[in-house]
This record gives sequence, structure tokens and C-alpha cells, in this order.
Amino acid sequence: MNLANRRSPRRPWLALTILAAFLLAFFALPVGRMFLAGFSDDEGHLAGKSITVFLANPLYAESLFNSVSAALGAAILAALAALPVAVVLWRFRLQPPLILELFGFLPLFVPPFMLSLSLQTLLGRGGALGMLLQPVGEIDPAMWGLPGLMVIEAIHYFPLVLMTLLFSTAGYAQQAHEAARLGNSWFRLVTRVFLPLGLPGLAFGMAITFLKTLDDLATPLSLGLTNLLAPQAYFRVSTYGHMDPLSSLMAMAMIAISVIVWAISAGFIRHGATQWEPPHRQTPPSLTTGQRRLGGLFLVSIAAFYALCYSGMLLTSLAGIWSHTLLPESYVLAHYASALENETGGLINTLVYCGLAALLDVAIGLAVARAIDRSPPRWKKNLLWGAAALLSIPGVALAIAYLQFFPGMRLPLVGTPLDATWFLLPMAFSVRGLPFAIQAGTFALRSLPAPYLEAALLSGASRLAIIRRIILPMMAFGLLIAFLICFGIAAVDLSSAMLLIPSETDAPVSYSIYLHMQTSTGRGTGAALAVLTIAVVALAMSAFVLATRRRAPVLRQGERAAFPDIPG
Amino acid sequence: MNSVRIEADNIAFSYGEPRVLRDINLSIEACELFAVVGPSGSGKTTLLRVLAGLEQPSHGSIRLNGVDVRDIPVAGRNVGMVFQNFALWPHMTVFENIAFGHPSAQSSGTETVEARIEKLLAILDITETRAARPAQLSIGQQQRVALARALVHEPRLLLLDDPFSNVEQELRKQMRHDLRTLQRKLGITTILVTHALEDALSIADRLAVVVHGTIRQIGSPTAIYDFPNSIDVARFVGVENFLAGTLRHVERQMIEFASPDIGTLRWPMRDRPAEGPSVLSIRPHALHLCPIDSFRDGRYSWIEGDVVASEFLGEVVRYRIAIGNAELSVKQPHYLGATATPAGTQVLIGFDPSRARIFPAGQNADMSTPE
Repeated sequence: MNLANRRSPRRPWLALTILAAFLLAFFALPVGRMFLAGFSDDEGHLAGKSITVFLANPLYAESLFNSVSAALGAAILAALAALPVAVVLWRFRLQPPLILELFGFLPLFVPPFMLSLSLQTLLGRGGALGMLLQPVGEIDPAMWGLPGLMVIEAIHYFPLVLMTLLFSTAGYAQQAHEAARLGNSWFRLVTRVFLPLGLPGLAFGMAITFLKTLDDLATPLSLGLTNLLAPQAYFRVSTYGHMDPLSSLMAMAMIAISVIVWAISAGFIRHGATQWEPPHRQTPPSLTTGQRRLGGLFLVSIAAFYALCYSGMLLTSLAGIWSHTLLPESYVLAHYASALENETGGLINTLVYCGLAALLDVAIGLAVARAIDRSPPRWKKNLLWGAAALLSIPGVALAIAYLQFFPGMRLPLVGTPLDATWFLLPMAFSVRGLPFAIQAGTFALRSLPAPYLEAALLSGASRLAIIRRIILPMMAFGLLIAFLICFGIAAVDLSSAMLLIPSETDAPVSYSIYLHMQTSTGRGTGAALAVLTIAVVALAMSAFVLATRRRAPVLRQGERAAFPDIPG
Repeated sequence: MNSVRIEADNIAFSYGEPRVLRDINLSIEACELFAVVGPSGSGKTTLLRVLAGLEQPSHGSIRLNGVDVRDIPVAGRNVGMVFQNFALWPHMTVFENIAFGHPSAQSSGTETVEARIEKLLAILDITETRAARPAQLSIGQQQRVALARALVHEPRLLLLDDPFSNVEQELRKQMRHDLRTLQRKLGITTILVTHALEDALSIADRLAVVVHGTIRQIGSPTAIYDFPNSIDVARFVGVENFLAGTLRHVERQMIEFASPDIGTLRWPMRDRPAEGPSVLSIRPHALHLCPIDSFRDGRYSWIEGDVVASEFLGEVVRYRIAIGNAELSVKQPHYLGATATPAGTQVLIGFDPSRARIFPAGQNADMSTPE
């Protein structure tokens, strides 16, 4: 291997070719095939008949309208809730502890249907608060229809929108305080500084909320809502088979809407002058004890609200008998025992699917991040935004595309049809996780700046020694984080899983939770599984916080991030 | 140590367009401390990386003791390098950092690697830090550890990539003094890359000024400082005043420089530059500022001007003087209790022509006085 060429334009092509081959096989060709299916008649000829059918059927038109309304409503509600909270935190320079900051990203690692089921347990007719407030009115979210879905998705994604807002404005809080001391009014600072600087963060948070809500299959179904695109596409595939042109059209409509929304939000994000910075990196303000307590109370009340929202799930998981009473009549751990005893298959499946997807994502993410780092500056932004555009591919649409593209294909050697195995699931998870994987890959690369490896090369050490003693120890943390992020993103991707799993025995744990919660006898076990899942995510995040605090940043300003090749 | 002579012929390098290095020709003697200086982005670090083998030139050859090393991989060149941020592996102790790449069983002649490391730690006065992690060390100690790591495999060539950057002034002086002492003691050929002229002038045997990827001048520190051969080099070594005009040979060994700003000046010059449009350059501290009614010493040519602004810099006061349409920068020593001449004051500037340099006009760089 010649070091000389490591910056030549040929190098990025190698990684980009591998990425292109992967994306071609597991993204472009299946989606392209789905597009053809959407515009073909029964004989396979191109025709617009299916579009006419789609547009003529009021159910599908309503589904389209409802999907867009629900996604837009959830994004707007989450933004409306996050804006004042962010303004208060910014105004008083309240810095949430790192652990709370990380919990802001919890919505990416916990599926929203868990919140839906928890709230139904609490607010439903047989639930704790629901029963108490029955005389006042109907508060069961399942009875609210579309607004119920909007509220639940908004509550679920609120922490994410808040965090992206805080990340895009935190770097300017100190200057704003100094400007306020010099006589500028806070109203003026909020309207002229906070809002313009927060716009990219708000646009990003709202876009993620919109895209995830549009793609969400389990939450509307848990609320009994079916007149939306994702559930309709799911039902049509289940009823008429994967070659159904109307399901293709619905998937295409979802992709089109997602792409438009992502493009609009990308416009806001790209043209913003924001410098993204975590609030905890800021110099802590000197607050009085009273201000600190008030700030703490404010943050604790938000955390308490979420604890209350998820308490339905916790109570269900511990309830022995709970029927038409405020709280369970008895508490047992049997559901946890049952979950651990009977649902190990789901856990193992999750580990296998998400582990494979995460490994693939880390490898591809690292290669792409490195290629992007070495690409000409004018390409860098476009490549990064190109990769991020994969965020706009809904899981339901990708799953339908796979179901239409892979049926004829068989696994080599074994001869089993691809769609009869779980093989497609990790591939779908991997494609969906790639935008995050590339960012995580960049983070991992930053932990080994080029001079550190060049120093090793100059020392005359063997290739193996350099990998074992320099590369792996220095990048281990970054790689682990990248793996965990990709794993977490895959673990909550229920939209793809619901369509792609060949049988219930092959289901990942999120699908098992969903199935259990749909039955009256399995709710306890499902809730126990959900609590265990959330606990694992919380533990992983706490471990991340502890590890982050112990590590000093290696990369200095302006230093080249990606490492060079190791000569063989 | 086994020092080498380095020769680089017609080295060119690029990451695409434009070229980072062009037609680099160098010859560095064994045991020499050679500095490569130049403004940021001039290509000096790239030159160092090419010499180390971390980048492969697109053209040209590099010879160490007459042997072409173009195809010899990095590890085979036996080159030690100290990086700008030292690049000490944070998860290893000082000893492990230095010993990396050298299994303890390996020996060099009669001396084991471990003994050699201990000796280096002692020479560099960092023995007590052997079990410490890099994060526990001061900047000075980190630099010494990086140096020990670069020297432990007895390299033929030591490369230093701006090792004094981001170091405060006092420590910087100490570090470069220590480096010079060690380099002389070990007798190893060393190339120092720095953007700070003072570092290079103070310890280098010779230096090369790199501007826009080409070597503009090679010479001893005093030669480069006193006799820059181009406007770019002059600007880099601290010349601030550049006046456009026309040069004419008037008598034997006499030249005449006519400028719309300062009028016509004549002075003797043995090696007369070519006639025609030229640029006269002179350092700010080679000009003398006097009250307008002062006695005009015949050793100087005198120009009248007005003080535009003054800056008190401690040891000197820097004045900006308007002369016609041009402005000259003049540095005068500060004396105890003296106040700066106020703006608007008419002054005389005494100009010693022998301390001026003349360059052909349009050679490179613009003529404006830097702010």
C-alpha cells in the first residue's frame, strides 16, 4: 500500500464504490423496482391506472391527508412546547446535566408506541387517572383520534426538539447575557438572536419528528387509527400481497413527502449561521442558590412529567391484579420473570439483527466518514447532505420495496428464499441507520487524529502492533458509541420489522412488546419487556456519560481528523 | 548517531490543484540544524512530510547520503519526527510511548532498548515522569517525551514540525535552547519547520524561506535577515516599507532612485541592480525620526513627512508617517519617560540608503504597507 496516494482522489472512490454497491443492492434497486410496480398494471406494463384508483378512493386520500396532518401537527406541537422551555433555559442559562441532555435523545432509542400504551394504561377508562377523571370527561388517548396521535408523538419527540434547539443556541447564551447587561431587552434578544440561531436546530428537530411520525406504524395501530398511509400500506401488503401496486403508491407518496420535508428543513439547517454546541460545554453561569433551586425545580418538573407518562408502563409491569382501581391491587415480579424466561428469543433476535446492522453501519459509516474527510472540500457538504437524505426513507416504504424486490432471490448455498429469512431485516435497519452511522463514524475518526498514527508509523512498529496498541485503544470508545447508536436506532425500527419478519418466532423484542401489549393477558409481560428495554437504554446512556466525563478531547481545533493508511 | 546528508531535487507535490510544493531543491549537510520557515499555508509542513515519507512527491527525488529513498516506506527511512501537538498516545505511559515499536528484547549493539530509553530520559531530564500519562505532563515535558520517542530508534534524521507553537514565550526560549543543545550533543541532522522567524534565527545553522510552495531563499540566519532576495522574503523577515520608483545608473557605482512619494535619492552601491521600475524596501527600525527643524546629518538622505499615528510597543514606538501618497512605518527606541510624538506633527525621516534593498518592480507581492 502506498502512502503517497492516500490523499489522491482515487482513495475515496474505493470506499464510495463499496457504499454505492451496498446502496444499489439494498436501496436504489429495491426502491426503483417499487416505483415501477406502483405504475404498472397486472401484466407488468407501465400504466397510470393505480394512480387513478388511489386518487379516486376517498379512504386513501383521507389517509394521505391524515398522515401529513398528524406528522405536521406532531412537529408543530413539539416545537410549540419546546420553544418556551428552550427560551427559559437560554434566558437563565440553566444547563441541564449531561445525563438529562442525553435523555433528550431517548426518543430515537425508544419507540413511541410505548408511550402510547403507557398513557392508555394511565388515562384509559380502566386506568388510574382515567377512572378518577371519568366524571370530568373522556381523557383516553385512544378516543381522541388523530389529535391523540399528534399529542403522543409530540410528547415523545419534545425532548429531541428541545435538545436540538438548545444545541444550536447554547453557544450564544453567554453573549446574550452580556448584551442584556448592556441594556438590550430580552424580548429583542429572543426575537433577534435566539430565534434566528435556533431555527436550524428547530428545523432539524421538527423534521425528525415529522419523518418519524409519518413512518410510525405501531403507534397509530395501538390507538386504533388505521386511516393513515403507513397502516393502510401495511394492511394492503398483508391482505393483497407484496406486489400490490397501491401499497407501492402509498410507499412512494411517503417517500415523496419525506424528501420534500427533509429538503425544506435541510435548507434551514444549511443556511443557518449556527454553531452547534452542547449546553454542558458552556462555562457555567454564577447563579444564586435560589436561582439554582428554581432551575433545578424546572428541570425536575419536566423529568417528572415524563416519569409520570411512562409510569403506566411501569405499573402494568408490576401489577398483579389491576382492574378498575386507581392503582394495582397487588404487585408482582412475575411479569419480569415471564419476560426473561419466555422472551429470550426476542432479545436474542434483537441482538442478532441490530448487532449485524450496527456492525455493518459502523464499517460503512467509518469508510464513508473517512472518504468524505478526504474528499475535495467542495464535495464534502454535498456528500454529507446526500448521506443525510437517507433519513427521508420511511421504514414502511423500504420494507415494501424489499418485499417486492427480493422474493425471487435465494440465499446462496442454503437455497432458502430471502424473504423467508430474517436476512432482509438487518439490511433494512442498516440502510435506515446509515445517516447516523456516518456521523458516528466521523466522531470515532476524530478520536485518532492523523499525527498519532503517523507517529506510530515512523516508530517502525508492525502493522499488527499499530492496530492492536494504537488504533483500537484510541478508537475503541468512538467505535463503541457508533455501534450503540446504530444498534439503538435499529432496535426501535418497528415499521420495517412489522413487514419484514417472516414469523413471530423471528420477531425482535420491540415487536414482541407490541404484540404482547395488544393482548389482555400479555400486557404485563409486554410492559415488563418495555421497562427492561428502557432501563437498558438508560443504563447505556449513563455509562456513556461516565465514560465521556473521564475522557479529554484528543482532537484540537483545525486538526485533521481522519487517519492515514497503514502500509502493509 | 549516524547523521545523513539530505538532497532534494525538483520536488513537486500537490493534493490536486494548485500545487503545494514546486521545484524544491535542497541540500542539507550532516549534523546541520536546518530550519524551514514561511508564512502559514506556504507548504513548509508538507515539505517536512515529504521528507519523512508521509507524503510521496509527484515529481523529483530525495536522497539520504546519496541513496534515493523515494520507494523506501516510512518505517524504513529511519526518520524521527516530533509533531506539532506532540501526538503522544494518551492511553500509554511516558515509557510506553517511547518504547512503542521497540520490543524490550530487541537490542541495538550492546545497548538494550530499555537502557537506551533510560539514558534518553536522563538526558532530557524527564526520568521521574516515566510512569506518567501524557495528560499529567507539562507542555515542556510533553515536548521532551515526544523528542525522546523520536530519538529512541537512533534516527538518521530528526524532523520537527513547529514544536514551539502554542507555547508561551519564556518556555519557548528554554525549549529551543534545550533542543539546540541536545541536537549538538547528538550530532543528528535536524530539520525544524516553524512559522516563527525568531525560533529559526536563534537556533538554526541555515534556513530556507518557503513562500507559495517554492523555496525563495536559503542562507544563514544573518544573510536571510540582512539580505532578503525578494519582496516576499523581505516581508517575511520583517521589512514593512516598500516604495515603488524608477532606478537609474548615474555614475560609476552610483544609483538614483526616483519615486513620486519621496523624490529623487542618490547613493553609492557597488553591485548595482538593473535599471528600470523598482521597489525600494527598508526596515522600520532602519529609519530615524527627528523633529522637522533638526540638523540634517549628511550620512542620511532626509525626507519630510507627517505623523499619522503612533503605537507604543514597549521597547519601541511604531509610527506611521505620511510621505506624499505613501505611508512609512518607522520604529524608534523608547526612552524612559519619553512620550510619543503626536499625530499631525511634521517630522524628518533620516534614511540610510546602505540599509535599503532594491528589488525589480512586479517581482511578486503587492507594495502596500502592511497594517
